[in-house]
Amino acid sequence: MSGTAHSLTRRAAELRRAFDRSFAETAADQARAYEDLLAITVGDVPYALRMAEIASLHVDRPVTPLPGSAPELLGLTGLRGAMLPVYDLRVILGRAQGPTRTPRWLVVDAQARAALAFDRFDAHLRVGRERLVPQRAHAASQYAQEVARMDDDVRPIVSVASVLDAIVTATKDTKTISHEEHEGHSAAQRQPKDAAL
Amino acid sequence: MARHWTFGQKVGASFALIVALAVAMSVVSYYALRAVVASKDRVIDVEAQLLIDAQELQALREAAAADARGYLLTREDRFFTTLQASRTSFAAVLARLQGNVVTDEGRRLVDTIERTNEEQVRAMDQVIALRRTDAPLDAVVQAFDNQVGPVRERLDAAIQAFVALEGQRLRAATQASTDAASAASTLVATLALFSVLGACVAGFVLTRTLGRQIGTAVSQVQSSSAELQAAATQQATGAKEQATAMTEIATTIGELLATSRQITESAQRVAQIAEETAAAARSGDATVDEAHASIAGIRRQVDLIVGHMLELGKKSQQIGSVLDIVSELAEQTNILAINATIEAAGAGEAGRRFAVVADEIRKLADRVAGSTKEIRGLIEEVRSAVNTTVMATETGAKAVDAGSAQFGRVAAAFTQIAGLVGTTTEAAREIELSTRQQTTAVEQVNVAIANIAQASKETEASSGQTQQTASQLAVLSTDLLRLVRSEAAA
Repeated sequence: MSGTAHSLTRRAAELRRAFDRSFAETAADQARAYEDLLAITVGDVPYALRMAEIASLHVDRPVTPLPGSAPELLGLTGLRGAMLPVYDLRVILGRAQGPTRTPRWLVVDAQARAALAFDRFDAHLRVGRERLVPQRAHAASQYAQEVARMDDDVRPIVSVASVLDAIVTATKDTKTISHEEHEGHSAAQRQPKDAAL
Repeated sequence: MARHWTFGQKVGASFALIVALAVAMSVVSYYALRAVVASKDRVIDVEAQLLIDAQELQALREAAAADARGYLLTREDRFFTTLQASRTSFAAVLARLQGNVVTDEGRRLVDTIERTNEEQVRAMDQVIALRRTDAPLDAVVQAFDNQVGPVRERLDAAIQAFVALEGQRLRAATQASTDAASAASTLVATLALFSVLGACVAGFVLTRTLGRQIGTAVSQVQSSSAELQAAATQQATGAKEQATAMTEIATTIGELLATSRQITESAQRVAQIAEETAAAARSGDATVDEAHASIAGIRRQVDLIVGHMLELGKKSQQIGSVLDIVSELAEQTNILAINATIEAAGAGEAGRRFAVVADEIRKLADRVAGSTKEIRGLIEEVRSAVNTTVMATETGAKAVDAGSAQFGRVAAAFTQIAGLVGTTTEAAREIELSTRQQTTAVEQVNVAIANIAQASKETEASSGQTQQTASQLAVLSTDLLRLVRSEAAA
């Protein structure tokens, strides 16, 4: 019992020293040496997102589903006074496994175009840039060209921008085809997709 | 029927047959002898007497004639007196003959003799009277010759005829008596022959029957003697084994006696220990009551422990709830810090300082989240430990209850044990007494076993003697069989 109390006291002292040391470091050193990543889990697979591509992180936000929408589109949510479409990163990355509950976590891209939903936020990672390496050719995917190699973990880095670009491209194609084949559809039916864009 | 007769009956029957034959022969011989004797007596007493009387009659006639001649010649009275005596005797003999003669011819001749004698007496008296008259002798002689001579001749002839008749009758009676004697002899001889034959037949039958039966019996006796000999041998062997067994039993009884004495000593010690145990049991009652009170105290303490543990569990749950709030706050702080970091990064150079602060806030939030996880783990451990403790305590409470109940039973059992110890003490004393009696009985048994062993040895000796006797009996039966069966000699 005394050993545990001693350990806690030591940890508290360590925290105190680290907190004080952080004020002694210069900001330029920190920006130059590290890359900020958000460690997340999609399905059961660990991934990472660049914080530079994210505008904000949210949890347990209400999402209103839209009828007849694409499978990856979960619905709409209101964030900071703006209505944003929410896309399921599990479907986009092909990690959806049967019927599951709605992901709790959302990230908004840097341009605030849409929100991507995922299952779990693991941690905020500050990784040295030397640890960010390109994905191997056979393992590289459309949205994850790099991986972050930590001491005990390897996480593919999903490019939020490429995901949203693909969504935008796919939405445009769908819109064109829909306009040509189903001209005369009511504006109410098209409004969610417009809103999503 | 005869097969069921005993030897005595058969021998008795044979002797009875022989005796009956002897009796019959004796009776017949007796009656035959009596008939012969009677016949001879009759010949002697009647016929011979008649002949004697007849001859005496003839002699008396001649004596009378001689006396008459003497008187006539001498005229002496003594001759006359003698003559009278002879005439009296003649008359007496004649009278006896008249009474004894049975035949008609005899009576006729006797009557003739009587008449002729009377004539002769008259004639003689006339002559004698003549002589007394001093008549010449020649006249007397002539008168004698003329008067007496013919009558005397007729008298002699009659007497001779009677003598001849009686002599003939005597011979005939003698012959008849002889014939009767011969017939009796023949009958007796026949009966004797039949008796001998009957005795021989009875003896033969008896000998054959008895020989057969005795032979059979002797054979059986021989067989039985052989069996007896075998049995005696077996008995001798058994007696020897019995003697050996008795010796072993005596040894065992000796050991049993020693053991019994040891048991007696042990029973004494047991009785002593039982008394001490009874005293200890009495003193143990107070200890049991104290232990019972201690168990009740333990039960109350356990109830208090359970209550405190349940309270501790509730507090742990409350801590967990508070920790959920802290964890939620840490998570939200982390999100805010991340968003602040992002916003600071978006603010460019102006937000760099703010980014540092936001990063520190995020670190703090991370650390709070980590500490919250640790606390949650610790709380879970505490709750688990509390649950385990509560369960263990409840189990302990139940165990205490069970122990209390068990101890109550133990106390009751202890009381019962105390009572039983008293009973055991009494029983130990009885065992001691019984064991002493048993020791005495075993000693008596030991003596009896020794006697039996001695008797077994004597039985063994007796069996040997019996065996020897059986052998002698077998030899005797063989000899006896040889006596009753000639073929057995071979």
